[in-house]
Amino acid sequence: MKSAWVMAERQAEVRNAALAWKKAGAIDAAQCASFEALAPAARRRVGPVFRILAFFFVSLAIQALFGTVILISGANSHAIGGVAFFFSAALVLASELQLDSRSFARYGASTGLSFWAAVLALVAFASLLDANHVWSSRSITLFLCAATLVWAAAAWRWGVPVFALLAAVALFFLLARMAPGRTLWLVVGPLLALAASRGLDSARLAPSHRAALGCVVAVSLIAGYAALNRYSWDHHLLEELSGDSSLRTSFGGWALVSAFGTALYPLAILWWGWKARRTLLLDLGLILMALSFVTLRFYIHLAPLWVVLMVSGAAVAGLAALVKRLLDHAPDQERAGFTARPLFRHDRHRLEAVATVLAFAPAAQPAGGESADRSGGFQGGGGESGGGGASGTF
Amino acid sequence: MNPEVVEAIGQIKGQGNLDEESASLFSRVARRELVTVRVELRLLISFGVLLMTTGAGLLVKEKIDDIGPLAIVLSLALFSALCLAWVWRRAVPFSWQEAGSPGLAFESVLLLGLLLLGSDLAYVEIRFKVLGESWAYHLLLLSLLELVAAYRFDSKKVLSVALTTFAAWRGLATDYPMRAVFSSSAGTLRFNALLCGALFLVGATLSIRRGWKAHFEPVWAHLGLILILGGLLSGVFEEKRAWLFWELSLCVVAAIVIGLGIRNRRASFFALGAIAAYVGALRIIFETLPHTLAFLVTAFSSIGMLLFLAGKRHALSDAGEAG
Repeated sequence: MKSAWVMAERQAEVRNAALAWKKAGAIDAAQCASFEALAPAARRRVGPVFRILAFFFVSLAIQALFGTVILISGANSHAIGGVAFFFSAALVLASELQLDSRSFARYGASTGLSFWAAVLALVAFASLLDANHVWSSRSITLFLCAATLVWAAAAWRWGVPVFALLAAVALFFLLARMAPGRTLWLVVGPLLALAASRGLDSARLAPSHRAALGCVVAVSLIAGYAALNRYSWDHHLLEELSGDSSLRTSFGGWALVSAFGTALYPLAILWWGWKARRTLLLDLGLILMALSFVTLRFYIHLAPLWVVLMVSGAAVAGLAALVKRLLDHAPDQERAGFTARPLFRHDRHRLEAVATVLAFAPAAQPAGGESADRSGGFQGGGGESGGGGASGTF
Repeated sequence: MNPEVVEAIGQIKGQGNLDEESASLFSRVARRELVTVRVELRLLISFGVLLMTTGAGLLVKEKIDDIGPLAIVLSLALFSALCLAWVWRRAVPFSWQEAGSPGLAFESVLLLGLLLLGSDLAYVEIRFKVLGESWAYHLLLLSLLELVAAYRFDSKKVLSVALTTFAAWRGLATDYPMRAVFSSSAGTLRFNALLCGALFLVGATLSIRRGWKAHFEPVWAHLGLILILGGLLSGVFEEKRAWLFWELSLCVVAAIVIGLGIRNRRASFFALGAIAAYVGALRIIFETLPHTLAFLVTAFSSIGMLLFLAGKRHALSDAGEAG
């Protein structure tokens, strides 16, 4: 990234922190102004809705223009590659110009421009590999190599964390095609996560690069879990990614390793998150632990599903309430550096409200309920996971 | 750790513009010496509620013949009552202003109680057919109960569920706008969408004008706009002859919504209006022009929209973010 872009990001971090403190009432307007004077805004940033809208229209414009050129030229696959290459080059230039602009930088379009620059670069590369309209195994491997490099370069140059996530995903798909892919995921995943985590607090890196490393940590740990998970092993999920079942690890004790690993891996991540006080690791550990419980239920039917759901639901909610109680009653409402106070973190109420509606809204009925067909036992007209008359699928 | 913020705190404190206590707290948070897990705890409680309600529904579905209908009805009613009683005891006194939640689990327990009540009502209706052919009216009853609970206990989440339950009674699912574009829906459904949307917008207006929980206005307004714009889009894409009428109506409504968004600095209103108008305009473009020209017009109109957005970015920028 250019030094001017990095500086703008660092200043934005300071300004956003000051605004969050002011919003929480922790500092007054004068104090906030002193932070803003220390880190003056290079340009005014717009909100997430605006940025999403800009990304939408940038994407539409690029795809429509690309489609127009293809239709006019009647291009074959090789010509499509050439068109994609020129589009990609143009979009790279446009991204650079937009990020340099004091007026238009970071209002959402730059992410769209850089995203499609990378996508079309890969389309161009794919058309080179598509010599006889037949994709060989080698072609797929080469494409994944290119995808890893392109997304990594894009993440480094333009500082978009999602690009780092895509690069990491491409890397692990590439590793899955090698022998033995599962072992590579298991070894490379945690190692890459450990290596990337060393940069999460680095002052030498730009804020967006630190966020990108966070994405790499998450993908790497998930890859390690996917390699270990017992269900993944029994159903050859990783081997199916490579399309070659002969790449299956031949180690006889793998079944036992995966059984223990499914249980212990999430606990290890939670322990790491606890020691490092990183909510990313805690969140990931909780999600993987939930997946492990689902895996356990798949293999061991201790009780009917409804019992498992109700007991586990009560346990999860009860445990969270207990943790909150422990934190609230601790000295200064904190234990070991953790607190349940909101501090200055955005609580994403809107996302939670949307998730609540999607999870709990009942299914639509025939309008007004007239002449409803109720044959076939209890349906209840409920939502998929709750609501009036839950259908109970899980 | 956020090294930029740590450094800035030190500098501002050195200038004498930040007291020791505040600097210490901010620094601890920036260095990750103090981390909040409030969001994680709230999500865990919500997830627990989700699991329990799913389990309750599965219990009713699987054991419907074993347990006996009366036992199911009474069990669900009992657990619902326990949840609602717990909520009632901890609720703050009613106010038309924003009251805030008395605890992290409050809203989740309230939601659990209402969802169990909804399951109970649904089961009673299916099993005992109290309302006969008009059995779906139990959703109307449930939505009214949820609406009362939302206002009494000051919960936006419960209000969202209440409004979607009402819409479900009128035959509308939460994915209506997508289905309106990509699949067919009857004229009756469209009418219901427009009616519900208009009703919700009335709710939004009353929230602000009368001060009836003014902070609930975004919930009413966004759901109302989604239903109205979804209804108009369904007319644009489904009607073979009258689609132009729906197109014109969509343009007028979208223009009003965009104008309101700009005037009130509501980026979400602007976004909903802009996307609905543009998606509707695609029918005109692809209906009247050859494919190649249609693609070209789409491309240039998208660029035009981007320039329009660029011109309005200051009017719509979020005052809470800086860059």
